[in-house]
Amino acid sequence: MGVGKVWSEQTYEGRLNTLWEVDSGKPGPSLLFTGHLDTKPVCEGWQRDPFDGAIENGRLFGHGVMDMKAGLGSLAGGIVTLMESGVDFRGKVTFVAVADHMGQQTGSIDLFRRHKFDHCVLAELTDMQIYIAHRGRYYFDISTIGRSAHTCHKYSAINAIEKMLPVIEELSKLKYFPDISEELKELVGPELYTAVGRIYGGLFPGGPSMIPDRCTIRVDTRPQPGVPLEEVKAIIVAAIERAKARDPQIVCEIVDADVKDWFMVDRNAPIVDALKSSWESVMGRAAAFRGGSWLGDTASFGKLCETVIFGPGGEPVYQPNESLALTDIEAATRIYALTAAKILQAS
Amino acid sequence: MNAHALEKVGASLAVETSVGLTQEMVRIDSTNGPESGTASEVVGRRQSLE
Repeated sequence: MGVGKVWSEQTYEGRLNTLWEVDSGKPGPSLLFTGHLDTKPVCEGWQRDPFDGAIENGRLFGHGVMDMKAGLGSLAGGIVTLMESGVDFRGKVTFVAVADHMGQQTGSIDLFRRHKFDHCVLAELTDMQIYIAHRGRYYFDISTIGRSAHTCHKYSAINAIEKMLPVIEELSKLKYFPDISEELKELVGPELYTAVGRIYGGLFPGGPSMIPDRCTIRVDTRPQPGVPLEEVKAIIVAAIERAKARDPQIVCEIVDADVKDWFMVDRNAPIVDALKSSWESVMGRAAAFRGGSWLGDTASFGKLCETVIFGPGGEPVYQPNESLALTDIEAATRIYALTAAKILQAS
Repeated sequence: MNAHALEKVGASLAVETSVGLTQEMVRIDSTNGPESGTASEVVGRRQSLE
């Protein structure tokens, strides 16, 4: 078996996925341990070097330790544990640290374009809880179209920014509760979240004076598993129609700007069962399942591979002086090793 | 999960690998893009075990 094979694969523009495969040499299932390498930017307010990686008072400090470098470290430690334990296993386990989670998830998309896996553990920060679902994300770009003119000729203009105001007001009033199961309501919540997250209009700062003929907003929606794009778009369009009823001069365009899929795995799936029983062995109590409103890379591969999400680290994340307890890293390492031993057990 | 496997895993727990690799990854800035340095670190760390 040796120590396995390590290599990198380019996704795009020089960005790399890093892979480490340990093959038992015996036929059996293929287990993926994965997480992302990229982080969000460093926030203001750190009182120490955010990249020092120091350990003090039983905590490891550093930017991105929770999202999700401790998860990746613990996955690797789990594999080393499996290898050194002498537990007889079959099949293979592959560790993959992917690129571009914060962008378009091209690292995970490319990984699954090239490779197939039977089971997966994604080490997103879940505060040591077991997640079996998360919401998706649909972006809609809405533009109001006006008529531009110099401010001196205001009488001949239709200001696209002003025409956007009733649209934003109507969107802000939205409270929508899709018809979903009680299980889903419990996991990810009953309300479909919508928010106007960005607004663009007029010329750039320092530019000439001009009444704008276009204003665009991006509406961020977070649908629960099973809620289709068409259903969400319909409530957005209805809100726009209410704005138009208030002001017949409003002319709108709506574009489906981006779709990230929701994720849900059967709570009786073998990988869920393996991680749950390992968790209970380590934690000494019964496990409960959770769901999230954030996006994992499972938005891109969750329907291609049976996956459970579990990792060290939790909210608040990306805050000054971020740190994580070493006890969580140790417990996660143990849970990952046991999960691999169970799903790959030889007999 | 049988008790034997639990015992074996407990006796071989590679926490030093987990913590050490986490520290080394934290020390490399991989803010939304330049993961390559961190990826190389993962490879290097793994190969150092060989």
